[in-house]
Amino acid sequence: MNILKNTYVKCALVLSCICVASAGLIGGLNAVAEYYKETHKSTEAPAHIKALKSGANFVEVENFTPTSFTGNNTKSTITAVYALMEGGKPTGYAYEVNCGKPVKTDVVFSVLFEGPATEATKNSVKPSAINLVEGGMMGGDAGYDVNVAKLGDSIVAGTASMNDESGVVSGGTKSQKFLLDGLQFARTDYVARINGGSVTPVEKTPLEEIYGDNFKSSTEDTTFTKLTGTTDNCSYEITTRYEVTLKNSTVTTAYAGETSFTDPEEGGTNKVAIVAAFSGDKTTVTLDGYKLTKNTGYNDYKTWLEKIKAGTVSFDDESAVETGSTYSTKAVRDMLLAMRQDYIANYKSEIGKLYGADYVSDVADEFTALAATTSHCSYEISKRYTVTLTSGTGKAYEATTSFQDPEGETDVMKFIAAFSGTATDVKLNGYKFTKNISWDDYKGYVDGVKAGTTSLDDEGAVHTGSTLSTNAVRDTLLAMRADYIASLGE
Amino acid sequence: MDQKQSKLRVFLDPLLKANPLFVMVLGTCPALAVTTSLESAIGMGLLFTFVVFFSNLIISALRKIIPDEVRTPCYIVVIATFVTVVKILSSTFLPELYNSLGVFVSLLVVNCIVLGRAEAFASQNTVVDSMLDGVGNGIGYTWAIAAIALVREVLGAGTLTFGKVFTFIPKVTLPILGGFKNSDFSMAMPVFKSSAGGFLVLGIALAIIAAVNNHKEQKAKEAARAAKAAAAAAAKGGNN
Repeated sequence: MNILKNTYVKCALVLSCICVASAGLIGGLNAVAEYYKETHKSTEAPAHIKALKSGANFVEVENFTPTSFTGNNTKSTITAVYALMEGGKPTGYAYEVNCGKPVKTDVVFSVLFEGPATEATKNSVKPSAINLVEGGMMGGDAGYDVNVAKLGDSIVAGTASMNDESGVVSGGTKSQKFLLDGLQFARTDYVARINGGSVTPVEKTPLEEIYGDNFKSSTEDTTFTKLTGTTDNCSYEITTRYEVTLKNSTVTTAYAGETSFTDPEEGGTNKVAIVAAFSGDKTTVTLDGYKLTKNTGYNDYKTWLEKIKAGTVSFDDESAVETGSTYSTKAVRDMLLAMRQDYIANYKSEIGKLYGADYVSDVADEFTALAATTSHCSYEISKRYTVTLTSGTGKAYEATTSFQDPEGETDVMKFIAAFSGTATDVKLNGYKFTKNISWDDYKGYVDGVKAGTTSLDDEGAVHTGSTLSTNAVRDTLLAMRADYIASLGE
Repeated sequence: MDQKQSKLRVFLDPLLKANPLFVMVLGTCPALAVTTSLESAIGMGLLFTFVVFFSNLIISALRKIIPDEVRTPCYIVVIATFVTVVKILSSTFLPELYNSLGVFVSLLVVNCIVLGRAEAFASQNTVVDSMLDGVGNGIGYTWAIAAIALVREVLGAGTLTFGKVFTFIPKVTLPILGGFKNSDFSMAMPVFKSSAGGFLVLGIALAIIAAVNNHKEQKAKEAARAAKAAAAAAAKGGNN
């Protein structure tokens, strides 16, 4: 027993006993708490959901998988859905939504929608209660949270709209915009769910969002090599180049990239990711549209992008970015300039695309339009271009041809055709129809001519379908070829 | 009777005379951080009271067993245990409160009031006295941060909200300086919700309390001086 009187042993013993007792108490309590959470999880809605409507019966929608959607400012996730049960059936739905972290903490809220709603009335549907769990800056700068909560209250009261950002006030603007995105997503799901649907909206790709209904398809350009660069304002990485085909047959180019920059006032690295679509020729490159896939939240650079898109501000005007969110705008601008540079470097005119890799440049000729009427059609060859090729020269023509269809109506087609070769061996390098008709078997005929499997001189080859239109195209091509052969002697 | 009075003093002193926040200026960090809303402040006060009460109780009960050489590690283990207990309890039963207080629940482990009461009082006094001291300090700290939070929430948000953290009560928002129905009018000053506003309110409160204490001290000195003069006069009259 004397050993217990030793100071070191006593100290170690007492401290050990206290630690063991502490561990036992904490372990036991933790087990009880876990058991409580487990047993209450499935039967009871969380307090912030219950607080949406006092005394209401909320039942969690089973087998719900958290679903995300990228809005204008952030990617929001519906983490849980609860049915508001009245008289044994759902009369509304409550959502638990996490909108991501604008500054310090996530914006997390619960929202309740009640009553009937349809796609037609969707924009007038407003929530009957919003409970802000976290406002984006809880803790340190909770003052900003007040504005987020206030915006939610105003939307519920009907004094602010959740359809646009008109209700956003200075102070925590980023968090407020995140809230709006989350609310809009929850409402979209509500309109589907209250009408018996349970499928949340399919997220559109950035290119689908940029081009809307005009979008047809897109392919990643496999010849594109990732572009990286560092400027005074940012480091950017342009990862993908897309070839986008639109429903109006236009083919355009889009890029995906991410730019990183440091805000010297706040520190830390901010990132903006964008998919940007370009069109136009080398001298008139325009931004058709864009989709931000990663935001900083301080997103006045959107204003700048809108101006670029509208054409009221030039890419080259550096001073135009000095309007707010300067660092992010400069970072986005530098990346877009790199995209534009690549666009210009890889730009090919429509004529250039017809000649492919052989193409160098083209120039419009001083050309008197050729117009004639044949037994099949009336055509007008309005323009001619001299094309410089690596293997020599060629001529490209723009023409309009019209003919009478069996219903007695006049059908009009417009196309460009590209020729090269010698007088005895004229080659059709390519063609592009800019105006089609619905019977377009003539394309098969022209493809045969282009491939050299069908002779333009063989009138019999057209009798394969869409005879009238094919004859009209053939007559026009014959006139082009005749002019091409004549031009070789000039 | 004297013993009763002494126990009463142990309990009452921390409420006003030796208030840990307003007089001893301890625990100012959480007092600034969690006082943006009245409910959060009351919640923090309750958790603080729990920790200081039970840690005082255990430390006082073990004061004769704990060797002096390891008393500080032992106190910290005891305090950390009760902080962990309140963390588990609040995250389980009042998750909104736990989320709103964030890291400041964990930081109770190093709260100077809790450690100070353990070292200065519980380690030297009986279990009953230590419990009374713990409750007194808990209530004293709670009302102090609640008072600051009341001023900051009313001035900063223009409203008083209940039911957001203590979700077992119905959610109510009382319009005071703003938040009126169908009106955008508000006299709220968001600066009071910021850290600067917290310092401002605490500073003003400390100044008022210091002024009152100085005034009381001055009066006591004057009374003592008058009594001394009266006694001297009486002695002089007696001699005559």
